[in-house]
Amino acid sequence: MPFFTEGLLHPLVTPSHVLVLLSISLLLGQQAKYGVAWLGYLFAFIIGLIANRVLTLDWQIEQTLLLIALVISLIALLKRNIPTLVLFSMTIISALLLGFDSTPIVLFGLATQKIIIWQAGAVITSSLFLIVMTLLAYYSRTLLQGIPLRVAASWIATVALLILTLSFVA
Amino acid sequence: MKKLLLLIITVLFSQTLWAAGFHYEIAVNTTLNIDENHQLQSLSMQWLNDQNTSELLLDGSDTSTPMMLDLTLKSISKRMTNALKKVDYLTHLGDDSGPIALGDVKDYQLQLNDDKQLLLTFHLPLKKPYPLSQKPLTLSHADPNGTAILLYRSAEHIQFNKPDAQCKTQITEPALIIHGESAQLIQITCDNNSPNNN
Repeated sequence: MPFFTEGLLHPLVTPSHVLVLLSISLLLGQQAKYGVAWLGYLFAFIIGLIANRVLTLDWQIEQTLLLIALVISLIALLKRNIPTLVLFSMTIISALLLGFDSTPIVLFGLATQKIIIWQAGAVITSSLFLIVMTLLAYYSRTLLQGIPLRVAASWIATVALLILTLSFVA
Repeated sequence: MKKLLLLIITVLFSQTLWAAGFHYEIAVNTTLNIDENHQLQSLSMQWLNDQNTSELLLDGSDTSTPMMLDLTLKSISKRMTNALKKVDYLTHLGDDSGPIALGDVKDYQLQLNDDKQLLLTFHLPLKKPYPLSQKPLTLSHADPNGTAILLYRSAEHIQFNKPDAQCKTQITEPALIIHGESAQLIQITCDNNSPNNN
């Protein structure tokens, strides 16, 4: 099932998606608030996928995602307590945009079933990646006073900023 | 550490460029249908998909018997034309006054050739007949998603139903193809050969 496999791989081979997922997982793990956020992420991601079928956005989603990754990772770098509502909102917005940006190749005549299969793969990988990385961040949040997580956040911010800059220049 | 960071950025950025780069080609043949009043009535088009795209479209479909293949092709062609209708069949026709309105495709057929390529044939009418004159007509094809690239292999792939139409075609390719814009611009100029002038 090539479409399902491609959908599974999509969140891992799209840099903006990887960076957003890493940054939000890091923040959720660091803040030790993830249970409801995971559920919210899953539903918002699916809503984003559905929205893609009916809406057209005339802006560069990829650059928006890189900006989100930059902002979230900078927040994680500062290691401040974030209100639950703010954290949850950031997760939902990220999930909506990630879902909206998760589409297979546009082929006129492609069966809807294949698109859904592809998107199912993307949902699975995206959600599992978020859960695994959040747990990793959660269990390492007190390691060396949280410095490794903050270093990881700074790396994510740097990479996001550089790719964003290069995308404007290219 | 700096080298590792640079490597990560390079890999991720190159992935961004690669991920945005899926394209497929459609080889186009168009016949401009001119009536006895030297008016353009419709375009008859043939779009030939490449083998990879054809394979993707047929993947998972039942093509075990000629009857099943026929049903599959009818199903795909219906989805194709419904999807293409939303993007004006990727076809833009106009003159210096502006775009010429195109109608809806009612007559279409999808075939699978011996090279396992899908060939879509359809008839695209104009909403109103367009009187041909010495004013140049512009034809172009563009996929707003930027994935399909429609190309005429040569000017001979643009024909006229009347051999005595006295029309000339010229294909120009922009130096830089922008994502979502046409890869070729076709200019059609006809002599003012309307019956009123004879």
